[in-house]
Amino acid sequence: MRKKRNWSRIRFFMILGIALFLILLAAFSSQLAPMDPLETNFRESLQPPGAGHLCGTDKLGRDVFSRILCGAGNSFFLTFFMVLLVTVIGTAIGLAAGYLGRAADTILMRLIDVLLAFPDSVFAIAVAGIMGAGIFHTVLALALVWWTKYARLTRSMVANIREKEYIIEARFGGAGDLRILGKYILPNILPQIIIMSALDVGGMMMSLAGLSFLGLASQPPAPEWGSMLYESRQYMQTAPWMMIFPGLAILLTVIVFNLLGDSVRDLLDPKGQ
Amino acid sequence: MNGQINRNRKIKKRFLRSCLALAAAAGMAVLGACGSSDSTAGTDSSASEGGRHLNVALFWISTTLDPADGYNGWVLSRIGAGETLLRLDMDASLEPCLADSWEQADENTWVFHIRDGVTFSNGKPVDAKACMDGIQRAFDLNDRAEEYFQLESMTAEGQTLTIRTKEPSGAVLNNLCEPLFTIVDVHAEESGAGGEASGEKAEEASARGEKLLDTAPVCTGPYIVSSFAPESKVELVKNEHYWDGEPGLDTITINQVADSDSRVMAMQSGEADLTTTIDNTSLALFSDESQYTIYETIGPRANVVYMNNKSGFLSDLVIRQAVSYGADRRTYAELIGGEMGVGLYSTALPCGQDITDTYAWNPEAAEQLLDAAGYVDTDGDGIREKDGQNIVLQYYLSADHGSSDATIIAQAIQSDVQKVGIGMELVQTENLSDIKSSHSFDLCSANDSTAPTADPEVFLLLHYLTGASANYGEYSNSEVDQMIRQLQTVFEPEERQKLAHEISQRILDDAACLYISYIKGNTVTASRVKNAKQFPIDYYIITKDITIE
Repeated sequence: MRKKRNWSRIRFFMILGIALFLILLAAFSSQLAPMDPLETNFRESLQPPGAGHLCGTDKLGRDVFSRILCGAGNSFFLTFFMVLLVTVIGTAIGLAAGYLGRAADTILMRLIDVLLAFPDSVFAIAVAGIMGAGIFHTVLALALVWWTKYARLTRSMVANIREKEYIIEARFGGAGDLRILGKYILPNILPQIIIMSALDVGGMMMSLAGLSFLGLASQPPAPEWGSMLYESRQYMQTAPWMMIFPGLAILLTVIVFNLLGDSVRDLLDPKGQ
Repeated sequence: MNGQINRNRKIKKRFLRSCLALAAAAGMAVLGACGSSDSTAGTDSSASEGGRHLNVALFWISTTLDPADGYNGWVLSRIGAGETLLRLDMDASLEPCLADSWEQADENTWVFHIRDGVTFSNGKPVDAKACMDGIQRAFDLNDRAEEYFQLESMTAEGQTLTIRTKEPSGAVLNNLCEPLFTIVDVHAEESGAGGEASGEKAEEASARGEKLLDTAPVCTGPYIVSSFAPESKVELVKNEHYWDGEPGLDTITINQVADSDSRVMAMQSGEADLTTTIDNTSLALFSDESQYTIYETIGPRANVVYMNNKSGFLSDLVIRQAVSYGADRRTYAELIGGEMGVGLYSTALPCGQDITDTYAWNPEAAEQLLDAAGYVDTDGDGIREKDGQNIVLQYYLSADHGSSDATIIAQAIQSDVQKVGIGMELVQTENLSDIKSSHSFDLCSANDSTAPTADPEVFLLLHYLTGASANYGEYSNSEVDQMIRQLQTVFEPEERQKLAHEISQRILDDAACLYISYIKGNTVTASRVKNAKQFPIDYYIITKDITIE
């Protein structure tokens, strides 16, 4: 048992190392990029990968490698921001619903049921259609749907804990609602929530890339992996490097962050093994 | 304990089963959707049994085939079913079709002689009355008809059709080539599709006739629609009664394949023998002459960037001129294919030739103009200011219209214009037409046919006359207005072209908008398909001459 635990610890740190490396790359992408990702050079249109351009160039002669690097900055920042946002909102609402119970619970849960009826991407497309495309609207639409998961999880865990003896005792001891929530309930459910958000990073990244692919999130000429894939679609046969490298970038990062999520779960939730 | 486990197992099994069922249902839905929208398989059709059969991948098939409805007539004409009184030839010049001769009686009156011996595909003879009914139906049902000419009255006598217009228009002959005026047998319901409709009640017969016009209109072209699935598939058979010789094929299957890459792949896999409008970069995939033939021609279509002549910064001629000087159109055209655009007419027309390129690419000239006007960059952010405000223009473009030209042009202009100190924000939008008609843009992309019927008049009336319905950039020049009015009353073809040339030059000199490139239409066929053509005017794809070995 201990061996297993150690191994998952080692694995966690290894993957965390890779993830941190990726995040560092993204953070310093503008310094690391060999060329300006927006600089067009029509004479170098659709150059294959080679010495001058590690991953080739796109139709407008922009360096694909630089665009992927700089795209990472956008993607990572937005993904982490979104995951943090929905986690905080979802947990707060879930805590309220689970702890207050009764009417508040019923109303919030029915609201969630309604929101859950919308598939997130379709909902984002509808919002973008009504309010116009753009990062802000898309983020808003995704956040509107994604928080519900966290609220549900939190609410069910809180409802379980609420009637536990130590909570009742804390109340007898004179602890107020906020103190009970913050000191006795939240620490008990936090691991579950962290696991869930770690597992969501990859999915969120895919969702954002998917919406950019549809032209709903980032606007040209900003480098973004999803929109780079969209731009490459037409050159699939004539300039495959435009598609392969951004695709690989998405594949690798999503795998790394999914593995990270898994190992966080293994560490924090030994029951699951 | 055991019972508990068993129950758990049962629940798990049930859960798995329902998951499987769900997955299967989803899979079928996806497959079904693919099948209906993008089916390119032409081999399953019963029509392909025996004879010469052609599979075509077309970018658009309409929801009905009624030529008087929307732009559906274009589809009917492209697939070789519908014909008009006159048609436009390979050099965009007028050619007799159902009318074999015509003359102008006075300013407003045109007399046509309908070709003797032409019959509809149901065998009924085509006389002046039939043509009149077809044209009248277009005016009754489609608002677009009035844009082409204002009909006063028509009379039919034997084979002689007389058309009177309310106002003189030198464009009548060309505009009659628009497939909206397809000659269709509007009374096909009375004789009945099957012929044994005699006992039927009148309204039933009429309803069936309407349906016939929607799904299998009776026309005069070399091919007859035998089955029609909206936005998906049309099957055609040879018209045995065709007036202009025997058509080269027995049957044709036309599939809608909206996406350019899918059309490329349909050609590569052999599912399609003929397709059109392949993206310029992908044409290289068909360079093997032993396998494919490529036909290319410059048409009247152009990639345009409208400038809003009334918006904040662009109402200033200097800034419009600077943007015009700053855009390297020659390079953009090399990038996306086609010819460099100069004036509003393409080089496919006489009036589009030898236009002086007033604003040929010249970043220094742009900078000098801006400097002289006092628009300089004082805060060092690379963007010049006007009255203390950064000159940043909103450029709207549509995410996708089957071609990525608009996005490439937008990003290229943005990058070039930045170099002379003008900022641009690109906004992708789905409802570009709303933004265009509400004039709420600085720049916006468009793909316009500036002479849809190879005549310069209609486009000017709709797009450049002060206050006209499609004058998106709110261009206004009273002298140009006068010249456009004058153009309507000029009938001599050469004179018309000369005047249109002059107008085009004036609009260019005013830096009203940017004509980036003239689009080269293309048709790609498998090499065993013979006699295909790429017409400059995109009403025609399937002709009687096309055959297959």
